[in-house]
Amino acid sequence: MSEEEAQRYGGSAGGGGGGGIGALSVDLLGQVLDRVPEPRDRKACRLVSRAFARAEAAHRRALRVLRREPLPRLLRAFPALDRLDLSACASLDDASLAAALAGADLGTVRQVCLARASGVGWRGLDALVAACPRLEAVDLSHCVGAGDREAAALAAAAGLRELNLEKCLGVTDMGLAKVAVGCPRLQKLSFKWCREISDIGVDLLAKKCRELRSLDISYLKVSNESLRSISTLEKLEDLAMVCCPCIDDEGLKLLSTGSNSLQSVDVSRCNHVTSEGLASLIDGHNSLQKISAADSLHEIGQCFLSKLATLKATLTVLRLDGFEVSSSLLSAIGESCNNLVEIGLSKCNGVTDEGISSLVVRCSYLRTIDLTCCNLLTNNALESIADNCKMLECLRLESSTSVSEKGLERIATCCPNLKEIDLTDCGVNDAALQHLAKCSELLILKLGLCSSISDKGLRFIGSNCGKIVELDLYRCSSITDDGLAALADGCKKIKLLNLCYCNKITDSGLSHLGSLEELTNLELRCLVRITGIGISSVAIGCKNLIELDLKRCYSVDDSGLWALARYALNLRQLTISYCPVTGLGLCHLLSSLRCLQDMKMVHLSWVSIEGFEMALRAACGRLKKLKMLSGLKSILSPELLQLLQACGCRIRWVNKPLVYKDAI
Amino acid sequence: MRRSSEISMKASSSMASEASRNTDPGQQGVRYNSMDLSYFARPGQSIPSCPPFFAPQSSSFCVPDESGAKVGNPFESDPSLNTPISDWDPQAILSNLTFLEQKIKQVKDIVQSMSNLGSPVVGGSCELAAKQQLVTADLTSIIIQLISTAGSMLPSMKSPLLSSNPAVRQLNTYGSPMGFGSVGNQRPSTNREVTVPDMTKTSDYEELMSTITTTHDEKDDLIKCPNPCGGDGSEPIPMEDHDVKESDDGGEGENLPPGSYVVLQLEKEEILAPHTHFCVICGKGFKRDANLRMHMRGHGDEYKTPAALAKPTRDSGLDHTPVTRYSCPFVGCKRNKEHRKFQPLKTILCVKNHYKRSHCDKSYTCSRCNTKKFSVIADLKTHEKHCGRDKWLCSCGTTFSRKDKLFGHVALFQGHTPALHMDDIKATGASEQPQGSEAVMDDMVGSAGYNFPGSTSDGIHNLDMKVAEDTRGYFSPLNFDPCFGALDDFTRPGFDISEDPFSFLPSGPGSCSFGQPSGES
Repeated sequence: MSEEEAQRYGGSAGGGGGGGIGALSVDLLGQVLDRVPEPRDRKACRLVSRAFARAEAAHRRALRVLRREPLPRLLRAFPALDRLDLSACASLDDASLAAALAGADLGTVRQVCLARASGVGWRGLDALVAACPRLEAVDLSHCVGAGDREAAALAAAAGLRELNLEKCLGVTDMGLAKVAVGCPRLQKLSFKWCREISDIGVDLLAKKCRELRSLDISYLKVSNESLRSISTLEKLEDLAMVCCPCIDDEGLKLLSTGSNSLQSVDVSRCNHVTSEGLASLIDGHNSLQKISAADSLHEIGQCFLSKLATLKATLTVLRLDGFEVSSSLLSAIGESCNNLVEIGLSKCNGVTDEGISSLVVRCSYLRTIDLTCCNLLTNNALESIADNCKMLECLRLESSTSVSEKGLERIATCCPNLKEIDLTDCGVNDAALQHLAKCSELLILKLGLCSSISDKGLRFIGSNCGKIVELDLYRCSSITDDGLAALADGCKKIKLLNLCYCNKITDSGLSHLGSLEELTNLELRCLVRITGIGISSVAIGCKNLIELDLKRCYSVDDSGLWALARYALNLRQLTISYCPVTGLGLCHLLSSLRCLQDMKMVHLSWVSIEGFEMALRAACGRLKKLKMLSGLKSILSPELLQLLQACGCRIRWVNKPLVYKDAI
Repeated sequence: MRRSSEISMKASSSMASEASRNTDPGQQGVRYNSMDLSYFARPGQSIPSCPPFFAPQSSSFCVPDESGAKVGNPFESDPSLNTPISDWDPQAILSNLTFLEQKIKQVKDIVQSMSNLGSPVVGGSCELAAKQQLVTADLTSIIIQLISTAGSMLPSMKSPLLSSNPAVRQLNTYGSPMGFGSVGNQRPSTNREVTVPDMTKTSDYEELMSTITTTHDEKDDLIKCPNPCGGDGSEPIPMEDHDVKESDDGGEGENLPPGSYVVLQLEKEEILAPHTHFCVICGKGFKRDANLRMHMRGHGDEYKTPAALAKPTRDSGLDHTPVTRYSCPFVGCKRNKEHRKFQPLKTILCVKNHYKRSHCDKSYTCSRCNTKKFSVIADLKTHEKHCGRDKWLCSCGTTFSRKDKLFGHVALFQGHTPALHMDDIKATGASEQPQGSEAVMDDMVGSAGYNFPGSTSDGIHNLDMKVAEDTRGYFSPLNFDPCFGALDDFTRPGFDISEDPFSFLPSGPGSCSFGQPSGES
């Protein structure tokens, strides 16, 4: 509907002039735009009608900026912004951010995303907090350079409710204390991976931020004392503590003494947690909805099972990856948890057909079933799933080598809502794809390592699964250009496509891919037949390309880089290791692509030292991540390396011999 | 030489000198005499047998029974009674028995006089009590003497007999509860006698030192009698005294019902006296008894014997003595006994530290920060260890040496927030300056600055809680003592205060001259 509407309005505005659109008030047009979900469609409206452009300017709530140059203009142009996403804004730094904020009115901005914006430091955050008085949510995740000063800058935003500090490696207890004191109304906080934070920081947080509902302390070295503090949070609903090696059953017992508010708990990879600890936790929190205990428990005790039964009404998600699971256990889970919507049994030993059938017989609401690497399963399991779980949306069967088209046929016919299926390494064939093609809702399809899949199978998919967003054809080496043609013809929505090692693909196949305008991630590793011509057709056609992997594409030379430099303006990650490109091409590429942040260029034997120097200098302010041969470390000028590091670029030096792999 | 000392002793207690004279015929020898002398010199210094020292100051102090200890001394200090273990000397036994006879006669006389007195006299009751105690002490020593005499006749059995015989132990303890107010007198004279046999297995120099150097022992010294020479070199294994171990700050948490303990109050001069142990020969003062003993070696070979060097033993009967607590002489202080909510101090050390910390000028200034002052030098030393390392800073300006302390502070006070370190900010700020050289950046830095103290209104607002004020709390004895207690470093300055409890005695001429005669001879 959205597209039609847009076209209609756009058409009338473009053709009719005065009468139609212009007569409607800006408010109404804004309402219309709100109902256009696709950004592309909104863009179309904007471009064809001034009235829409005005309405958009007045009503636009969310803005995602890709380059820093237009940032000041954009911030002024949209005065009603609610969400500002700067995570992809290339080469954003303190100065440019502060300058852009200085002239803008950001009184309405409530959410700002600065994930991976490693160029932004405390000065920029200070300016941001000062400019956005109503700031409620900030995402600073993966700004690995961020530390206490950045946290302190954010702490000045007293109204903050959500804060993500994931992988801000420099944040210590001091930074956390700043935030805890400065933002007492915090409801959601993640400081996953901030390994410097200890018990006393968590304790202060629990004392100061009484409104916390969601907390992520994963990968921290905190002990049970932290859980004692956390247990005092009366409104806490969601607690994630993945891989906290110092937490054990005692901690969970302490946690269970808190208020009965917890709805979701994640103790994955906490090696010292046993099922008794979880049982005591369930004792204290009997409205739990989600339990994640992947790779933590050594065995599932009877006490835990009996406690699970007390959660019968509420429990919807149970993840028990990596256990020894027997059929009787699965049937017991099925009996006690009828309302399960998601079950994760990936890498569980002992999952058999009987076990699965006894589970699904009771749990008919299951939508997501993760059976990754449960390689005892056969078609019987699939049939019982298909017969019982009519609402199935996601099924992961990686490495289940015994399943075949028969089982998948049953799934495809009985589960019309299937949106995601992972058949990596399941050895399925074209016939299976023929059946799966009945699932017209399919969004994610993973067929990696299924080398018997051919163009025929892709034609089935292309003809019926028009909604597919992600397709993984890793090492499906029988696929040729024709298959890609059929795919590109039918699945226009594909965003992520993996064609690594499908080495029959040539330039003509890539020219078909050029019609996939939504494509953002494309992996073409080791496609030895493709050349610069194919790359240029992709670069020209796929305007939204963000990530491109050309490792070991031995025929891609400078012409490919030129095409990328000219057309792939949104490209953010590029891998050109082992490609026969020269310094000139590299230089041109790096100086032209203003969004490029992540470059992997190992074994570019045709590039001279000067070529590297020039290219890196050209892209100095923008690069965030580099992967290069360690031999270059001593050859490149130290001043350049310092400069790169000063701009927030992390260089990963690798040392591996140059080996050309021609065939698979 | 011996005579001269006894003559001086006579002034305090004729009974004692009489008793010692009685022992003389039995055992002589330079060694004995010199050691004996040192015994006498010490109690003479510290035991309030000389009224001018003590009686007026501490009213609750029971003076009279000095003599009890003195009577005991000749027995216990007499090594010749026990040392000739192998050769069984009928002559010695005979003299012992003669002495016992005389002793019994004496006691008889006293009892006789008591019954004669009948006592309608005003001061009679007091005198009577004193005499009673005397009698008890004498009887005790007689029993001990009997046992030791019997023991010397059974050389092989002697040691186990004496140390394991419960009766003897009881005897040991018996001597103590006789109401000697002074800590010094609490040490029953009988004790050393009993432990004598063990002397042979311990007390060479190293062992002596090693036992002295532990904190524990040092603290034990505190409550030990002022007569620490323990010349007989009895076993240096200290008696566990949990009362003392618990805390240096005396009676903070303890809830002794009033009246269940004896209260001592020392005068200011006594509390502040620098030295507590004085050489009887040259008059040099020492803070520690161990040092004095080391010093004494220079005065002759007689001081080099293991017995002379040995650490004085602890009193086994201590448990039965009345609990002693101390009062601060500063009127109005909560530690002063006149205070309505009087909280006594536990040990002399506590008295000294408390008095210096609370009622003296803080004369020691930290040479690093030049702001913090202390009255106890150990506090200064402790502070100097951490001074400049107080890196945990609150927005109110208070600094902490430990992060958890800061966080506790922040958790307690609304609006306080940890401040990031100034130099950090300055350093990085400077390095970043060239990059963000635009006017905007400067503006930013100016307006949205950091919360370090003094730079923001927030900081100023809270400045009423000043650094100096907080340090008082921070270095309050309560916080300080736990780490103090953990020390075991002999050289640590903290020991300047952990001296003999009787360090308060003025180094006046009286105590010095006391020892003089022996020096002359």
